[in-house]
Amino acid sequence: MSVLGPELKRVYIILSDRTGHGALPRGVLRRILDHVNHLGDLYLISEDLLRDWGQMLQLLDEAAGFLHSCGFSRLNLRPVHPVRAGKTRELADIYRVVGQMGGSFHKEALGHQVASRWVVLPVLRAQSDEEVRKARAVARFLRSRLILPSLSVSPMPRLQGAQGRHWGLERILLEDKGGPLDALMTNALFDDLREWASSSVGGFSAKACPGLVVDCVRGVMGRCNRLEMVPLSLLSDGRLQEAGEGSSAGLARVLKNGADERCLRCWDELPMRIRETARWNRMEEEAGTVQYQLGLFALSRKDLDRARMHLEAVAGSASLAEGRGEALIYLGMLHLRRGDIHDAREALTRACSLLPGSASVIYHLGRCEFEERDYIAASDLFRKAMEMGIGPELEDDLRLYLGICHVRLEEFSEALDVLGSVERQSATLHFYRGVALSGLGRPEDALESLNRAMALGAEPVDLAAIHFYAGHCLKEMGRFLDALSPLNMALEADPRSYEAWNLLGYCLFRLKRHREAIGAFMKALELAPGSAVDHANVGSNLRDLGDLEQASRWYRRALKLDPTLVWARENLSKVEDELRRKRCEPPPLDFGPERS
Amino acid sequence: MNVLLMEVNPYVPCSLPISIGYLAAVLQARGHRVLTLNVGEGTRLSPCSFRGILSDTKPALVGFAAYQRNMLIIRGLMRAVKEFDPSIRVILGGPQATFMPSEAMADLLDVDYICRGEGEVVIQKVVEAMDSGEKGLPVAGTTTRLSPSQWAEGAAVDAPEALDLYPSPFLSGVLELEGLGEAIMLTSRGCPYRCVFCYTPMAFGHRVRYHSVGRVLEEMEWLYRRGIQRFWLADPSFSFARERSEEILRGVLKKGIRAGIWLETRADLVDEDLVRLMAMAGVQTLALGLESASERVLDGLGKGISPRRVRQAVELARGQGIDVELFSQYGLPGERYEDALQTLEFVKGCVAIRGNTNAQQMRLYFGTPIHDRFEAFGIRPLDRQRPSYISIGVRYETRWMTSQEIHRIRDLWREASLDGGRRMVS
Repeated sequence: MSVLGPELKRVYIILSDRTGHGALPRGVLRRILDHVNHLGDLYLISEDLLRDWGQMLQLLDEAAGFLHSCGFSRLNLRPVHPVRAGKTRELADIYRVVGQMGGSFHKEALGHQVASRWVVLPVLRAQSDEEVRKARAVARFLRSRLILPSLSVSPMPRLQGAQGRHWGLERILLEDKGGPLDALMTNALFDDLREWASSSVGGFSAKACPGLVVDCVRGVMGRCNRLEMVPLSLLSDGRLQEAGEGSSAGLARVLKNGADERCLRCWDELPMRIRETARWNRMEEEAGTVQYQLGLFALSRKDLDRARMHLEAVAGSASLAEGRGEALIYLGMLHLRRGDIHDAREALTRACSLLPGSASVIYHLGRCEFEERDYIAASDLFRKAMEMGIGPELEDDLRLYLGICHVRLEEFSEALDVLGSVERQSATLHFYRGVALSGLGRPEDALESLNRAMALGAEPVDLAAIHFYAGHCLKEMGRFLDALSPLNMALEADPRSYEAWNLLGYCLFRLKRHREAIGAFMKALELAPGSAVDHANVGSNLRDLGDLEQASRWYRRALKLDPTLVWARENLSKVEDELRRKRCEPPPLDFGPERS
Repeated sequence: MNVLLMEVNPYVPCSLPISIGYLAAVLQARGHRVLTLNVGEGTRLSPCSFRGILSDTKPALVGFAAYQRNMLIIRGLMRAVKEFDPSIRVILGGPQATFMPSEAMADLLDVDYICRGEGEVVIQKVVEAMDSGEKGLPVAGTTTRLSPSQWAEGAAVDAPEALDLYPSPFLSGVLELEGLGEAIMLTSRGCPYRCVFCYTPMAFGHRVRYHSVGRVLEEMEWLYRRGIQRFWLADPSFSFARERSEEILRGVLKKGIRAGIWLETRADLVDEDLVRLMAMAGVQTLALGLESASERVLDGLGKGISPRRVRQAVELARGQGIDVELFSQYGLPGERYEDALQTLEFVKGCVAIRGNTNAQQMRLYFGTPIHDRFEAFGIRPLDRQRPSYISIGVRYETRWMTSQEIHRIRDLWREASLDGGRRMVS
């Protein structure tokens, strides 16, 4: 079990000034922290740290109390505040106090030789070049106290090629008009997606961000500043505890907000929003990996437009050398799924140049040829991919496609060999096995395979073909009456199947149900008016009904369409002999071929 | 009985909890209901949700895999268990527990049993004892708490020679494989060598026990067919039994298992033929223990392999296209600052420094010869006092290097690292 529930990973508390709704009542934070992950972040956001220090101290005190009572929890405490000119000494005093508050946790950590459960990671805000200089000086002081700060800047200051690590910062954040909260949440989302993208255990699921915003200025709280907020008053009294245990009120209501279309849009926008920050912090590669995974996630949800957007961005990125090839493979798969074979081939050919040893690329290029019905080229590529060593996740698909190619090329023995090595049982597999067996003149075995295909739940689009081949096998076995039912089902599924009408006509003919047979052949002729065989078939049925004049006419039409139809010519000859006999006329003279 | 088994690695991402998987498979085969809880850096687990898990699963016994690195956090989790329901029994297992001093019971008041023997055997005995009303304490293979201030040692337990007697944690379905690309496997247990810093030889009585080749291949094939693309064979010395390891590698080839393999062995247990076979079978990474590039330092470690032999093995492996990871350490007995630099230079000259090639300071764990006789090895602990369940670990300097020098070496390794010094194996 890797994901246990809707716990919070981050709590953002926007501290109130005098005009706001007031400070968070004592005890409320302790109750919120009960829902926070074993490693959580507590952001205390202040517009003026000196003004709000009293509130912050109370909250830090509650956080320390929480850690003392819950021995497996760890907190990153993140005061977020501007760095104003002339306040350096006061800030230093404040951070001395914050550091001292964690003294017992540091001692405990040292004794256990692990990281402290109380880690202070301030976020210093700067909006001008002067404030950036000031922030860097404060950062130096903090580092000397073993506190690692981040710097949050608006686009205005000139950072002159700054890099977070180079400046000894945890991270540089970029604030836009959304202010510090937006910047913090964007970076938090980036961190979550990075963690998900690099995790070897557990997949990604569409969940809302595991954060809680407590806005003491506006008196509201919610999962995210972009989603609905509820009144902060729900956190007071005993209602929170009740809510935490599963009622629909208060915090539980907030926590249960699932991800919706707004979250998906937010994820889509993330790569763009994080681009500058990633550059400053030398995290371009991680940003590329996140976007790649977002593409795959969209692909898994069959959200092809989103997938294309992300994968194309990764494929065109220079920062993710290894990921580009993979992105191009998935882009190729996406185009294949959409039927854009040209685009698919182009993407896969580019992937091939980046990943020349990739069997997966060759396999998908084979799929392109397959979709364009060049079964010889497709089977060549499939065989090459197999020799290169395709992964287990594609092995069965590759063998299935290769088998189908052989069926299409009427290489039934080869088809049967390849299809026999496919492990995953499916209706498609058994259908093509059936066709191959039928082609090899083994109708009983073929029928068994086709029945298996039906039992495995064939797709509606394949039903007509399966029923048709079942009818065909029964016809081959001489069971013409039994063949009628599957052929009628085939025609029910696809009334425009010429082959089914033709075969139905044949079976009816063999059952001497000539009028029905003529009806079937006439339907076949509606779909293929130039079919000489079906004209002749109508003729044969008319002949057996005793209408020799009409039969002669139909045979002649057939021969006009195809003069090489030998059996029609012989039948016509017999019919006309019979007609002449009835009229008592002599047969026409046959001088045979001319002699030289 | 309901049992909750927890693997807790709070500072790194989750990996497959193979050890508690074995315990869960054994208990499940005997009809017990077992939940395994794998807590890593990114796992969501709050105080509230932990109570929810305890409430849902109603365990009579909760087990923790203890390592030096997670003791602080599992101490907190054990407290939470007892606060939720004091009648729940708590057992501490894993490498930290095997040789932990019994006096640790005084510091770990929430622990009812410390596991001293093979986990699969001991946990069954604990469950049987609990089923019979905990009569006849202490339980064999454990240190058993009799009262808040009293505990007693149970008799030693034997572990079976054939590991196949344990049901497979994979085939029995106790491990969650959803979304997993890599599987950790233990095809053998134990090590016959006598490296002074290592826990394994002592814990397994200097012998090696094996799963049959058939069982190993059955598991690998089963996992491969379920999408596992990489196997992490965590045996201490995979090629110790040469014929068996060849049989496994040939079996991998014969069964068409085309996954990547990571494995660890000794440099003196590989030759050209074996390395070629490894490459053919899909071994992508070979991990070798170097420890130090100084012959003099190595002589004091009981390892019995020369740096020259290690270099030969590296060349053999790389000649077959296999990546090599070199395990090395600093702060070793007899190691001077210059020796440590020599190791860094040696490794730089052999392989890229990333992943497990990032060296770490030697750790002194309970049960290792160097921990038991630290003074004789020139180790000077930095702390006069530490919790009784915590070993010396990295809090020491040596007769040959001050802690400042050790830290300087650490920083030099970090500077030379291509990935910031993050190791997978501790």
